[in-house]
Amino acid sequence: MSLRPYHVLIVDDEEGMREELRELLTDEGLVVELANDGIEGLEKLRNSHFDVAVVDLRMPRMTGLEMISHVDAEEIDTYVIILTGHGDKNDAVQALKLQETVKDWFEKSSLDAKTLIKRVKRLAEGLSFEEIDRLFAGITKAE
Amino acid sequence: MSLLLLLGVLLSGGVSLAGASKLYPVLFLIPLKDILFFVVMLITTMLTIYVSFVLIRLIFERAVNFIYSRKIYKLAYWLYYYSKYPIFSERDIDSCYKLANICQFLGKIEESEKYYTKTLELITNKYNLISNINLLSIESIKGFEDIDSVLEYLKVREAEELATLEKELKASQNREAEQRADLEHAKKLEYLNYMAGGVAHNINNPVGILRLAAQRGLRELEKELYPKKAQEIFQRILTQADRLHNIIQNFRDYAKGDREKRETVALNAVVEQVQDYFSNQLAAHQIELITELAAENPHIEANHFVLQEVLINLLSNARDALENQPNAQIIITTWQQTEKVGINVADNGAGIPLEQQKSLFSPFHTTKAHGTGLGLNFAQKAVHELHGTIRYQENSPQGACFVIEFLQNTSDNIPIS
Repeated sequence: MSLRPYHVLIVDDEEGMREELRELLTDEGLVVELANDGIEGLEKLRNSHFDVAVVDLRMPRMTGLEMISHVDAEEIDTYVIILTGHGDKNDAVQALKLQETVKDWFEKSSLDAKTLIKRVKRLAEGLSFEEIDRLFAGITKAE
Repeated sequence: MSLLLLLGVLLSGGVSLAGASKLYPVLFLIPLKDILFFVVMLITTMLTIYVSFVLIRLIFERAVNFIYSRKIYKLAYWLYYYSKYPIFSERDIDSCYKLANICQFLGKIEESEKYYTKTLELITNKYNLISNINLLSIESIKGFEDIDSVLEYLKVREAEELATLEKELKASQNREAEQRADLEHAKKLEYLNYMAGGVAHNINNPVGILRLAAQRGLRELEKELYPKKAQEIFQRILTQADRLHNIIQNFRDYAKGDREKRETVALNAVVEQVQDYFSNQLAAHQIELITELAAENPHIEANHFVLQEVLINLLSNARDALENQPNAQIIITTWQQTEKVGINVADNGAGIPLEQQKSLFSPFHTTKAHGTGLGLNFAQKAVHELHGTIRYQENSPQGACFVIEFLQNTSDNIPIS
């Protein structure tokens, strides 16, 4: 069980997609925030903590891949799930291999709500446990 | 002026020849008829001399030619040599050539080379031979009876040479056109791939949203137990979204498909996919597409995309052949025999006339107003690359039938798809 509600950031330039994902995840008791593109997404990730970010790859201004590489480079503590259109499947797989923050990817056109929810929750939990570990480590050090 | 002078000089002679009775001391006193008589006599004399010369020359030529043809070369040489000027000029190609031959025969090599060279020069000046200059070597014109045979030989050689040149030109043109067509095909594929990427991305977004919305609707329904009908509706939306997704996926796979790869391909699957793509399009042309798939589910080692392209090619030909025909049908059959498997593409159109059947698969053979004539050629090339054959046969009771044939896959572990 979690101590606090999980925070999820959804980064997609498609309004319909954002809204659907928000409804779906809010329904599951997650706190959801939205971003229109990579730049906005990155801004939000820097300013407040999110457990998971669901990121589209093709976006104007800053693509998902660029955003992810920033997240990785700045060591922002957020797990990323990539959403792809069919065209950038390879990019998603590549990102999954190379970027530490990227934990999974889904194809938009065959998106399964249950699987996505499960995956987001599990990642968020995983991160929370890590958080708790760190917290405990801090306490022991202080002692 | 000079004419008058000439008349004056020849006056006395002329008068005496004429045997004129009276002598006049002054020119202008000669009566007109005497002068006329004198002039006529003069012209006649000149003509006679000229004609005699021509006759002598002709007779002489005949004689020399006779001697030459009797192979009495020594005499012929002697006659030629001493009569070359003025009766035989070197401008006379035949004489020049014969003289060269005679010299050659008599062992006067240097002299013969000289005359052969001269002959060549005269030939090139006189006859506008287009052909390669290599054709006109001394060696090539040696050993003929006379210049006519030489010219005939050269003409034949020239015609041959022209024919080869034309053939080569045509071949190179064909090659170029084929390369161009290949390039265009590759370009088209590249473009298709690019398009497919864009289309896929654009369509995948709404499809994704549709899916999510439908799934959310279903979940809501589960919670609150709405009437079953609403559930059905959402389920249908979901199914259709899935179908859309599959169409896009197939399209994209086709566009960026690796055509070099060899894999185990189920012929039935290829036909089914092509049917998926084209049955609607063909229906729009009032053509019914029927498939008869072999129950054995034949497999070959080939490439899915290439086979698809071959079928698409044949289908588009059949479609053109069936335009505006009542009860138009295309039947694709897969089959398996003891050693062979294959696909037949048949239509009930007019079929292909006998005279066209021979060159059916050769490049640039087309009967269509806008055809490139490369469709069947491409199909044949593609099938050959997959180690198969393609041939035409008449369809019974009417129409065309293309038979694509492969040796059966002998490997034991064939996956059943």
